[in-house]
Amino acid sequence: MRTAGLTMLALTLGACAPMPRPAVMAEVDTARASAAVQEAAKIAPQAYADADLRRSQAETAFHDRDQPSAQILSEQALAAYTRATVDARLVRAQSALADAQNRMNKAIQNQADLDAQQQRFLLEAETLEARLKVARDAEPLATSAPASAEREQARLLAVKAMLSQAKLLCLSARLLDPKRDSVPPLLNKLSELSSKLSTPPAPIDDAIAVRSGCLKELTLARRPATERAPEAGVTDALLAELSNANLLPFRDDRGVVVTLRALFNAKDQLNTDAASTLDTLGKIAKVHPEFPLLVVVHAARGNAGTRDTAEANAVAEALRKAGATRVDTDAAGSAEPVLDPERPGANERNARVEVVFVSPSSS
Amino acid sequence: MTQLDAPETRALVAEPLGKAKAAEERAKNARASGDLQHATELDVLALTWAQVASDLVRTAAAEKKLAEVQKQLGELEQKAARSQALIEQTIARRGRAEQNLATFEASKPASASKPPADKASAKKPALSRPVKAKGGDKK
Repeated sequence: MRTAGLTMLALTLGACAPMPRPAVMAEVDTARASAAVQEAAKIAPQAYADADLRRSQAETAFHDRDQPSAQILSEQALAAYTRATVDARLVRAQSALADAQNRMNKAIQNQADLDAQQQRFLLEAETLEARLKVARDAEPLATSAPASAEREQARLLAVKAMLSQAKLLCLSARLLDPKRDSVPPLLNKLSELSSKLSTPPAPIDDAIAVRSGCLKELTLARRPATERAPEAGVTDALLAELSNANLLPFRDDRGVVVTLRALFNAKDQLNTDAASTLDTLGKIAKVHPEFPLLVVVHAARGNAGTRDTAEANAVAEALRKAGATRVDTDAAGSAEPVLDPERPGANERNARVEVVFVSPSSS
Repeated sequence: MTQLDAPETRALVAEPLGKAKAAEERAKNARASGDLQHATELDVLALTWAQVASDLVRTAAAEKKLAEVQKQLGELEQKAARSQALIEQTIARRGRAEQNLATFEASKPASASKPPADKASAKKPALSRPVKAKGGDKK
């Protein structure tokens, strides 16, 4: 009886003894007091409140002497506090991202404005430079005095070259603007000067003036397209396309030029390689209809003959067949050699065909 | 949890995912021994750790995107500075051209300074004024 009483007393005291607090509950308290969680309380208040609720439920379970639940709910609270800190990081990253994207949009707009300004100033600078060039070219030149026979011979060669260049410039202007009234008088003047070449002195001053006039006509023919789209850069794009096709293009006053040699076989027919190259050129011209084509046949020696004209027409026909729409031709004779005709091998270099993509604008 | 355990996120979520799997295992054991109340609490614990892992993945993605945008922004700001310098050079070039043209026209004799025949070339263009570039609102 006495033993049973002692046992009952021990059990009663045992039941009233304080239950040990699970270690995880202390961890939760430490985590909650940390700077990261306190910051998360401000940035991610909902996640923080959820963690606090679980901590409070753990405390209640501990108070109710349900140690396993106190343990598990404390673990939940620890996980929830961790989640609150992660969510705070996410909110900060999203907010910074939104801000960065906003600044990015403004920077893109700002860059577009700067690019537009640059194009406008560049066009204005180029227009002023072109006006100065035209004004200088329009200045009356000092009349060339008679010269020695040797010098007169050199002038004659220069005049032939200048008249040939002038003709090609005027033809380019006419291709761009067939209704340009001021081009035919210049072409007539060219013919007139060409017919005077057999009698000295060589009309050097007139040749300079006509070349200048043709260049001016070409510049004026391009002006509307240049003003419409100053930043288009169409010529650069075409140049890049022709370069990619290994056609070795270059630029001059007329536009983008591709030089071809040895196009014809012994029967004066286009050979296979030439036909293939012209097909490529014609297809590129088809894609760029704003660039009319000018086919120029340069002879190794002498004036342009019927054979040169026939070759120019054959090349033009091949280009049209491949898709080129506007094609004009000229036989320039030997007025514009690339090598001194007296040098060995000059004939092979000087006899050539130029396919000129006449640039529709100065941009 | 299977989705989160992908190769590209494995290292990032290893710890919370490990804890989620452990909690899931404990829940299974509790359920097997008939302790449904604690099994449910352990399920919630597993879910919470899985949510931590998921939020970590989202956070890492947002931080990566942020770094990319900030890099692009830096490049764009540098480009804007270069563009601004180019504009100043072009304005100077335009100024020189304008001055050269004025000098040339002033040097011509009065009788020679007839208006050009072509109307387009005679028209003096209205010159643009530089617009102050918008300042980058750097942080």
